[in-house]
Amino acid sequence: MTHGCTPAPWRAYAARFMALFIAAIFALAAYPKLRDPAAFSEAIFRYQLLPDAAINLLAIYLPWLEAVAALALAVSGRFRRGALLAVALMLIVFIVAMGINLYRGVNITCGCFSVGGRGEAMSWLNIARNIGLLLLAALTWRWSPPARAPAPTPRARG
Amino acid sequence: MRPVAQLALLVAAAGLLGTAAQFVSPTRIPWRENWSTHVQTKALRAGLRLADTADAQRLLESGSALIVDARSPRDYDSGRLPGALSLPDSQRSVVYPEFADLLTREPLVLVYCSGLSCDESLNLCLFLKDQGHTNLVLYAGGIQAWKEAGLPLER
Repeated sequence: MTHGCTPAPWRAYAARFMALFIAAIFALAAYPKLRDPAAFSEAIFRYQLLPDAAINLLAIYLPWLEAVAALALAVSGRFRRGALLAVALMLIVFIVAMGINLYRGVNITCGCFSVGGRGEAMSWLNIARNIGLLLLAALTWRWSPPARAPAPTPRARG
Repeated sequence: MRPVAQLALLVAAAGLLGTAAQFVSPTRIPWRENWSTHVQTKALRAGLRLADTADAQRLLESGSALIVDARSPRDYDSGRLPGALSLPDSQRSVVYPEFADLLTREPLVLVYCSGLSCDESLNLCLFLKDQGHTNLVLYAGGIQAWKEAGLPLER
């Protein structure tokens, strides 16, 4: 990433569109978890990765982080990079958690966009999707204009 | 503002909102829950019989129950209760038909997985119950409790 370098205008527009897309994905992911935190806590339990004390805490706070990151991406250019960082960190955690359980052969639902027992079964496609989103977030970061673009250098006349 | 500072603010906002929701939301959950009894509680609500380690050992030694391992084949191969049959919950639809008759003939079927934090045995029991089996017993303590009791595993 070139510090202080303003990307071409079309890239800035593309970054805006990609940020909105990621915001929509994360808003869709947050909604069922906020509606039914009990079911989400059970989905986390099934991953068999966390101690008892952490399960409900994650079920309480993670959906709000998803929602806040989605909102920041959708409405605020100022907080876009921070939101992209949050999105990237969450995606990395999701990828690792899913990868561990797929390797273990544990049969659980993903808990990505639905939290009931009949949600999508976890598969390597879920991981591939999250990797795709991570790459999209990275590209959005790359193409987003810096928070304060440097003043244009005056052209010499003559 | 640097991206890390933005991230910190977003995390703080999520923390505040999550905490506030815990005080006002009708769907709030306890800050902490005893997940180690979760499987047993659900099993009892579903009308399943439960076995502890002493029960499981007695059933195994008397040969009066079919022992079923609900874990993945990888976990099954790394160590299982002696004489246990592998019926992974993740492959139940595919594997069950091969064992349907056997499961019906046995007086009791003891199902287990890795321990109290695993609900594969519960899910398999519920699946088998839906298939009409009524001779099911859930050993919720599973491999972990078996090992803690100093009992041998088969490999």
